[in-house]
Amino acid sequence: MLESEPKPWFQQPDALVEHLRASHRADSSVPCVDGYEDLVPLQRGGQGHVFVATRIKDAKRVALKVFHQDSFSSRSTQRRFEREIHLVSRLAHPNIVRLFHWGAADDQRPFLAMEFVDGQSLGDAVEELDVDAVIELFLEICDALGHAHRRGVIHRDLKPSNIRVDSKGHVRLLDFGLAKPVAGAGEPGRELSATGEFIGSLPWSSPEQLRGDPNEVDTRADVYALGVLLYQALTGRFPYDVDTSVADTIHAIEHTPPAPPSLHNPAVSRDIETVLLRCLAKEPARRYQSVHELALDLAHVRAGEAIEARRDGLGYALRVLIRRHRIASIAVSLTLVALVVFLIVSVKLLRHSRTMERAANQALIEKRAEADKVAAVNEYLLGSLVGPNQAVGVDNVLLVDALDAAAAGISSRSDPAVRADLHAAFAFWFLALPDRLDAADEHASEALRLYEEQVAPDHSYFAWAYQSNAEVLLRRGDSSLAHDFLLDALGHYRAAGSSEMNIAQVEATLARCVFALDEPERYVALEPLLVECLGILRTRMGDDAPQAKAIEDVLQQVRTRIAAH
Amino acid sequence: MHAPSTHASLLARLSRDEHGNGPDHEAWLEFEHRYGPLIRDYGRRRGLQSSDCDDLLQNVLLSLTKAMPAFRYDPDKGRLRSYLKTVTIRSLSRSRRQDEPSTSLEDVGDPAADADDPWEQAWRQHHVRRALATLGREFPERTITAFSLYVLEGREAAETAELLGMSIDSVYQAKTRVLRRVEELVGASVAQEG
Repeated sequence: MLESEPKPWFQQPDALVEHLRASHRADSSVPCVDGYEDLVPLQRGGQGHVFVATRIKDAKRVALKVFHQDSFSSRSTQRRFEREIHLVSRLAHPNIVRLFHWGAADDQRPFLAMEFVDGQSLGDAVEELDVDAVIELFLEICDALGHAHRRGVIHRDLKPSNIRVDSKGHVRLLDFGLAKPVAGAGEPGRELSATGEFIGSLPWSSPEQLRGDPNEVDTRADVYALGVLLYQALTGRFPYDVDTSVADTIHAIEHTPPAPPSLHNPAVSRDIETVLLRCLAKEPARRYQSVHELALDLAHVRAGEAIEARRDGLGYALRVLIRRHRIASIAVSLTLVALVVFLIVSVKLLRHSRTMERAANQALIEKRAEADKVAAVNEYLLGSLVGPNQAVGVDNVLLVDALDAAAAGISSRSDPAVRADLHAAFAFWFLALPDRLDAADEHASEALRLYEEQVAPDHSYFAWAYQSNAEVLLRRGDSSLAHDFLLDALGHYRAAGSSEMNIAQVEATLARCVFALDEPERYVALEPLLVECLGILRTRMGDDAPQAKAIEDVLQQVRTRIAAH
Repeated sequence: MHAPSTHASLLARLSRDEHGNGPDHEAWLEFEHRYGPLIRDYGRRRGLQSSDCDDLLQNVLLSLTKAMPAFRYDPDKGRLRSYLKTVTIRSLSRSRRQDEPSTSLEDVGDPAADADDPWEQAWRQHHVRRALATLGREFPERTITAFSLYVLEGREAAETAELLGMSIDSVYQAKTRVLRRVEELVGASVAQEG
């Protein structure tokens, strides 16, 4: 035998490791990003690298976050990322860092360009502050988070380094919803492969985040993280020992009750302690259900008033409602409840039959899952809306009470698809009631968030969620965002091959937005949509239907305005 | 003996789709996804700026599309490494308008690779990149994390073990297992493409 040839390079361990490291380093190099120059490395993390750069067109300083090459390797993670970015880019709040632009660098690494904030991290900022000033900062954080939550964005990775305090002492939240966009269902391991980042975020993660099922994580994970941050700000410590191994820290987050903060800092009052422990409950259902609730209690603490956390959540609310509506008769309320159940169930069944038609060619198993879901939704609505009334018995419970009680239990459903449909249904019902815009808002944004997280949501459901969110926004006076959401809804209805009446309805609502915004180019874009809307209404309802007449008038006004410009 | 490999059919689809019609847009995207980083990497090694790398990739794609009917890639004649090298170097010299000798397939037919050759460097990175992208789907998170901290980032084994709450032995094991798999993956990729 001749002496064997030298082994190929990949069979020589040292050479292979060198090549692997070179590949890893290449991923850390400074990329070329069109439109930006003078990239200076700021920090590196598990997900990618942050650079300070100059935007060429206006010499503005921006922060560029450049992700690792393989961060979004599959199409579904890429899509999730893009959806999330789309939502985040619409956040406009003084305490949230603006996202300007995103794309791919010359080496195909995805990047985000955002506002650069000079300032200190929350950890450094709170060192010199007293309790009242800390609460003041947290109220700002709550306000910003509430804005994001209502628009379907959860932060998911709140930690001191993601909360900057600017030179004027105001909070600026960073890295919204981007922190762990890659923890997609069906792709375990993505999150941890971003090594440093994960370990760095661990102490602020909620128990449900550590369980790793992204469907379990909702806005209440942010409430939990705020609890850890506030605990730290007031005591200088974590609620449990996190200086141990990763495994021990995970165990502590999941099982160890937080040490009473007053142990570490006697200045922490009993009320603040109650607020903190409520945020830090292991079970999401036992926390504040929204940052708004947390903010209310923080404001109570600041004003020296009694806090809500002491009271018994649902039972208390029900009692108040029952007392308030004592005048209503049992007969009336039960009829209303029956009506609601009937209407919701019929809406669901109608939608279901349409879905079934479209799904005729899809796999049988998908149909079965869909049918199961509808059955679960119906069972829930019947059980929770009728059930509580029977249990309450002689007390007078109004429609609102029944809706509230039923809505409060949605979170107990494990299937996120069912939860999404329920939230979407409740959003519409609360929109139909006077003075319940906050509840409608919460359900609409939760529905949207849950749909966004589904791998392949049905277009018509998605459209439904966008539409209810738009209605909420429009009533809150945010016509511009409502306008965007309606265009999204329209796109989804069209993609779903949905009923023309849905399309006409969205187009009519769009007209309300455009009149509120009163910008010339929007009238121009609206005109053909209104023509379509009018056509649909005339075909479906007749030329003389009042709805068609109304749209005819609106169309006339739109044309007058276009001509005037 | 020579079942058409996936990259061979991909190259064929660049100029004509599977029905024999015009260029296949999907194939272009797939090619860019698979070999774009390689060609850009080579361009940078040859001193090109970012926008020039874009042009290079564009030119390679165009010449592959145009060349295909007459100059069909034949897996039996030469390996993909040599073939892509030829096309890329030609595109580069054309775009630079330099007197760089046009390279023919015969000129680069010798597969014995010089490790310092920029093309060889880029080509090896191409295989390594592909292997790294696969690992995340094959190993448990902790193993990948340990490998990443210890081998790729060059941290101490003890530090890695402490960070992850695992034993030092497990860190060594993670290195051995992952490295062995990388060797297999790269080996398979080289066997296929050269």
